[in-house]
Amino acid sequence: MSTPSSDVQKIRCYLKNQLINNTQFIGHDREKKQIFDLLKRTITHGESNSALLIGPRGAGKTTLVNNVLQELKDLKYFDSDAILVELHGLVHTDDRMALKSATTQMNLDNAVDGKVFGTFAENLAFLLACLRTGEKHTSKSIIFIIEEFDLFCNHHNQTLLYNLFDVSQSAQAPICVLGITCRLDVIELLEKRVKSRFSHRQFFLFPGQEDENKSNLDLYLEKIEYYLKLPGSLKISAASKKAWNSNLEDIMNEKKFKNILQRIIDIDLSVHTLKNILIRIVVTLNENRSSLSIEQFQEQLNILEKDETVQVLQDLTCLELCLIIAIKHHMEIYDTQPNFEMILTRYTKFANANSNMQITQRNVVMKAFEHIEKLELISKISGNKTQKEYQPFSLLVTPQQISEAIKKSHGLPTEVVQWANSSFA
Amino acid sequence: MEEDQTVSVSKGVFVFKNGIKAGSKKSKSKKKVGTSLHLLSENPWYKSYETLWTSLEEQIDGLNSEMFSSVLGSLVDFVGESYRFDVDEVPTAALLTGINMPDHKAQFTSLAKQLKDNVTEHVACLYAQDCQNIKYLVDNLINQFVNEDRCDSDEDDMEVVDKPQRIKKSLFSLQLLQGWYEELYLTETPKVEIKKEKCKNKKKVLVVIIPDFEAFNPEVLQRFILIAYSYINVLPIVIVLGIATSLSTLHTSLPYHVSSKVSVQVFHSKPSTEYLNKVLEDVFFTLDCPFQLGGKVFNLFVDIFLFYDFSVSGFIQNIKYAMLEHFSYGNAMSLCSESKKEIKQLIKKFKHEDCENTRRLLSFRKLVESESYENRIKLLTDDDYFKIVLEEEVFKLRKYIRRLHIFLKALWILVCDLPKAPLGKHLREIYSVGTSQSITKSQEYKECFQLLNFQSKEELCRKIERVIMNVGSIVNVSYNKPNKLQEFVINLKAYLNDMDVENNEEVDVEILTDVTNNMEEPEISGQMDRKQLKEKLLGMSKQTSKQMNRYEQIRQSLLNYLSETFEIYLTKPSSMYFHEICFFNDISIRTHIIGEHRAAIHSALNNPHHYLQCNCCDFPETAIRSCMPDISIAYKLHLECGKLINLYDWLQAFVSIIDPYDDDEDDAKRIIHPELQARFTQAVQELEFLGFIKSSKRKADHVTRTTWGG
Amino acid sequence: MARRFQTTVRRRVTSAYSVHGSELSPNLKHVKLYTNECFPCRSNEIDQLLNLFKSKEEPYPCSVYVYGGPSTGKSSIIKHVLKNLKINYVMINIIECYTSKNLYEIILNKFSGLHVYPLNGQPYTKCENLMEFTYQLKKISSIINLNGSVLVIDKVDELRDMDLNLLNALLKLKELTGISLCVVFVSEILFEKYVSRSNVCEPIKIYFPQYTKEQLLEIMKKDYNQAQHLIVNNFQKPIHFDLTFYHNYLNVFLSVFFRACKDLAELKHMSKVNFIKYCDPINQNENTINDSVTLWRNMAPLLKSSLETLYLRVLIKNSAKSVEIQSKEFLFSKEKLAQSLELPYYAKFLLIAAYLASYNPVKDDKRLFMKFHEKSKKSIKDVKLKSKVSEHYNTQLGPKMFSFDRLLAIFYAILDKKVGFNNNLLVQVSSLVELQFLITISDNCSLDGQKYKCNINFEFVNTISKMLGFNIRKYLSDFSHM
Repeated sequence: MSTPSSDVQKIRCYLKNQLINNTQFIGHDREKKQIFDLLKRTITHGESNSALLIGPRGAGKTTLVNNVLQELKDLKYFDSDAILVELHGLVHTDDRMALKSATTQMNLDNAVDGKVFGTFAENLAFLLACLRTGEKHTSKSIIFIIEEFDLFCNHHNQTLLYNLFDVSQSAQAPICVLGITCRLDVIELLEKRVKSRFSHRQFFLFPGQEDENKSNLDLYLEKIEYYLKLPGSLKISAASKKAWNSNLEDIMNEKKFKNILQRIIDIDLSVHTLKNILIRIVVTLNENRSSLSIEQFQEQLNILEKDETVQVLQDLTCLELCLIIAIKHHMEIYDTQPNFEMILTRYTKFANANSNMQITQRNVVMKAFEHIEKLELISKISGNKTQKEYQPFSLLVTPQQISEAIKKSHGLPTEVVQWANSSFA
Repeated sequence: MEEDQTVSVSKGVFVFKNGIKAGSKKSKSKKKVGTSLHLLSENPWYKSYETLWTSLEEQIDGLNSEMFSSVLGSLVDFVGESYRFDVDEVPTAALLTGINMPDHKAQFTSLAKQLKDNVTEHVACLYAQDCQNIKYLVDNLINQFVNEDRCDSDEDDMEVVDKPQRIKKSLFSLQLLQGWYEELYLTETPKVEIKKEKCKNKKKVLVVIIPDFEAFNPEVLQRFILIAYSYINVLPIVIVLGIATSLSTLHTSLPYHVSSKVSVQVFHSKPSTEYLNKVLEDVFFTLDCPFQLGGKVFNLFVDIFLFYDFSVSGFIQNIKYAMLEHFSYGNAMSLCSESKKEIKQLIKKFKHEDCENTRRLLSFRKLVESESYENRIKLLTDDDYFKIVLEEEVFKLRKYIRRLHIFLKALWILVCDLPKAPLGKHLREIYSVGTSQSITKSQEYKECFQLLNFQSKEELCRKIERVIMNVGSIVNVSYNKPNKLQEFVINLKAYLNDMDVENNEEVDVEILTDVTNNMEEPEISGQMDRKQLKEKLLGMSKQTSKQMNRYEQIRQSLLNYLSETFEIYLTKPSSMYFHEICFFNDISIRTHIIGEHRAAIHSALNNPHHYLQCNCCDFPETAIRSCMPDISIAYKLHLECGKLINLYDWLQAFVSIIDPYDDDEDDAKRIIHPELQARFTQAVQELEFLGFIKSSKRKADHVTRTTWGG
Repeated sequence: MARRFQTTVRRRVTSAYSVHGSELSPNLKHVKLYTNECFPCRSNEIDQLLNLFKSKEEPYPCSVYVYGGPSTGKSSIIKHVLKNLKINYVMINIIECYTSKNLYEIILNKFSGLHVYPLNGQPYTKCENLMEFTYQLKKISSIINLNGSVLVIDKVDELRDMDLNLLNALLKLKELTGISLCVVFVSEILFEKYVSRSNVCEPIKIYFPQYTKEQLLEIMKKDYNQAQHLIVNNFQKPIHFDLTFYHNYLNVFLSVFFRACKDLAELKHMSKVNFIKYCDPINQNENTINDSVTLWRNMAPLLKSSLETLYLRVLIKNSAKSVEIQSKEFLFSKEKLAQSLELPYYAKFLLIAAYLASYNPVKDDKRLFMKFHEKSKKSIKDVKLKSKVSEHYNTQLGPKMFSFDRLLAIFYAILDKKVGFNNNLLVQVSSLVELQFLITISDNCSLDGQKYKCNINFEFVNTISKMLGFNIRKYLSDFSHM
């Protein structure tokens, strides 16, 4: 079937947007609901709260929160009753900065400037006081969204967190603190005084556990369908749209496809990975290839499964490989960390033994050695400071990887291969 | 005599200066002049010293510049060429300077100057101490590039302390440099192609000179090279590395990913032994340099050079010191000056004590003894007669020196490349032999002539020709009336063409030789034809005794002739009267040249009598006397202590030595007189200043001893 | 400052629009062909890049990670592609950013197109930390639309030495700033070297593999003209050779070098050096262009020798003609090394003494340096030493620390003639330290308690001792029993 190039372009564009700029969160409805309610209560009834949203990278925590916030913003009284303050652990690398940006987000800059505060707490208290306009239910409630929550734990005795939680407990002002992190042990990171003030309300966001009666595979399929299916709204010729969707249907019903997908899930089932894979596939769409195919998924799976270290090893020159082998042998024989001198002697023995390894020049070997160090296939043992030749090194690749690389790479002299495989030096 | 003392004050200076670090001679000489001018300047010996030294010094400076010129020239060319074609790596020049070529800094500054004149005005010189990390390095670099040339543009506000339009350090970044450079050389719309064009014609390269490669922190250097590489299309940077040791250091300190970003071009500067020889031959072994070093002293200096430090300037400083020592003997030495007129006038002006001063010279006695009785009287008493004698003797001496050098050189030419050179390869070695003993008596000399006896014809001819050329050159310039030298040359020539016609039939050749000899030497001294006779006889005897071919005969006779001539001229200096005037051979300066300051300090503190010469504390070293200076008392006490010294005990001991009266009462209720305590404290402070002790952190009111023992 | 910032940005805006104005989206095919033309044997990688960036109206992924060995054309290809796709991009090299401040400011200035005026260093965006950075970036984006522009960061591995989490932040730049700005990372090492896989979301990766031998051959054939230039510059009479001749040469060349080196830049360099040698016999009229066999015969040894100078990048200009020869003899033959390093007599002995001191255990000193020592102990030691495997030689384990007086003791022991202990000698030691032959370990708290290490390898010291006619093996406890 042939789809006009314009349509293909449109499709590609749509799909890319769907994958990259999509903010719509799918699944995990329960957690979503809970969080929504939490925030809503803070806004409407002005009750203070603190909670943590925990889940692995790429599980879509941020997306979820953004969705929730979006919904809240749609509520008519949001702007009047609530202020949103978003802090990010990566950006606000210390508490002063965090507070500063908080002030701006509460747009209280003009109120603050010129004032000097003794302590951090005073400063925060003042900010909140500014918002308080009389008794509790009329005062604006503030929502703190704290991303990379764990990073805030590293700040100097966790001042910000302490104060926020403190406020959220003693109901001075209606405030809700929602921390987002990917560290499951985040609670352990909190100091005791901080922990005690935190209402241990935690939401967990693990991909594929949201409900029991569906297998991960099905969920995955759902997601894929959601991402790749063309909606009626898209402005392209019905024919091509139909073709596309039906093709998608067929693929998704294939047993083979399901196997592939299963493998992918076994390796890594975060949404992020899935997206990456889909992006890689979608971008290849063009005039000549206007539809998906299982082969592409297979290909992606292969990429996902491939061991990159082996790839790098294959790119090494014969000389560098020899050095790696020498190190490997050394560590097998006396399991100590060799230094350059030892490797050199070992290598030179080998090179002298068989003629067509020409290079024995010390400086050259040194350069090759430095190269594999630069590629971080070997690494210095930290600590002892002697000159390069005597610095002990440790091998960062496994013998299996080495042997595999040697198997795959062509044009190696036979004796090198033998040497690599020989168990004794 | 206080001359000596002033001089010996400046001895101290020299001792420390002649080390690896060849200090700048300018400052030193100035210093010395400063101290001594006011009280020495009127003495004739000092005047002649100063004239002589200044002339030598400028000769040396001239030599320096022309020594470096060759290598610097090629370097400058390299820099100029470096960006003619668009490059893939950062062009880098590695200049292998010896471990201490005299005045490295001077060399590099002159390089920078030449670059500024010939190639580009953008030259930055980075020293390790300014570049601990990459940030400092870059700041330093940009500062030199951007701000320097602004200063050049308007000199007037060089004086102003804070330059208004100078860029603040905080703004420095490579963007800034790039912007600055493009402002200078590129019009708007910087396109790569345009840059390429510019590279060829008007763009000037940026030169970065790094004189002390070893001292640099390699990480910083690597980072810098990488940066330079990343800007290679925008900023044409050329790096010049001064490497003291060897190329291998370059490879060890630049790892693969860095070294693949540069292409290194190696340049050599001359090894300093060569440099030394050049200095000696062109400055000190010249015919009209009156001041000569005696064998012992000369050897001493050479040894210092070869064994301890390859620093030529150190060597020169030593010679200078020797000169000071030499001249400071008295006005007699003023006769050691270049021009004959000078000498004449000086001798005329000689006062009585000057004559006495001269008479005190050792070799004068020999002269006296050699004379008849009444002459002795005259010599000893009559100054005018003495002056006459002195004058002619001095001229003899000068003549002798001339000849000495000429013939030493001739000898050197003959023997320098003999198998395992018995007399040494270098002129200086022969010189040292010739000045310490009469070389012709020496064993090596005999060996040499035996070896010469086996030389092939062309070998010999070549050498002889060189000798002729060498001596001839001097002869022509010097005199017009034929003298010994010319005879020497002529004879040699004769021998040469003997050899050429050697294959002819014997007799006429022999005649020919006679003819040549006879016609070319009308006024032959008696000694001359004696020589000829002997030669003939020799020749005949040879022919009769055993058949040796013509060439061998000629060689034989030639060598005999040579050795005779050498015997005449290469006598040892001490055989001359008044040789002390020109030859300095006092080995006692060794102690001043090679300093042992720790020993000196030790003996000073341990045995102050040695320096103070006071009669009070003239005692065996072990004894500690209250009359000694406080510091030496403290020192001697501290010698008895261990690694850690308790200050209180020390004080007690100190006090008990200073005032031993109230020994009987026990230390507990003895109250220490504040003055004594003050003196003690001062002494301790002085010791700490000298570095013998330092306050210890381990124990309160204890000090650590930093020297041996304990 | 702020005002000027505004104005200049205005100026930039117009220009930016002019760039954006030329929206006739460049013909993809044309770009593709052109790029492949410039960078042969990279079609696969180029395709991947083009797929990601080919059309402006479609969004770009938020981060791409490009990695592969040195000189596989990563940066240059990316640059080329982005340029020809008329994408508004900024390319920075971490190498030049020695502080994170530096990094932020460079990026901001490049994006806002500010041009630094050397006269006063203005206008210039200041930025201390990431917060300001994001803020400024938004500000710029509000004036010039940064959406759909690309930030290329080269040599990312340097980032790890800078602020913590800086990489993370850059990976999430889109999320942090809310600008759809694509960040492309270029590096030589694997992505997992940066962070433990779990706590960072992976970018889309593109791998640039090393060239194969055939590819190298094809690429190097392209600088045929350059080679001709080379010949013209170096020889008096020009040699006219055709592509096949050059091709033959390259074959010969690669057959020797490929095993030792795959780095294109390095190979190009070496081939340049060797091609002159290759052509030299023709220049001398010893043989003609056509008989490649003879050429090969006399080239083989030269190549072998120059293989030994691989990676060292050292040229010695021989003054006679301007041909630059890469003379192995100069670099490595012992006596030349000795020549290039001139040391005073005692300094050499000090160096040897230092070497002995740092490579001999203290307990052996007695045995090695004392004239009369009891034989029995020695024999026992020998047995021990004989059993020693080469890996446990001291000469392989590196230098040990030694004290100053031990150095002197050994110095006097190995030096048969009597030497005065004077300043010049002391100065020698300090100068050796200056030249990095010795390394000072302890602080110089006490005058004599200095501790040193010897910083030279065995070859080196062996050369020196040979020059002095001193048998160092006899005094090294590793070898003395042999």
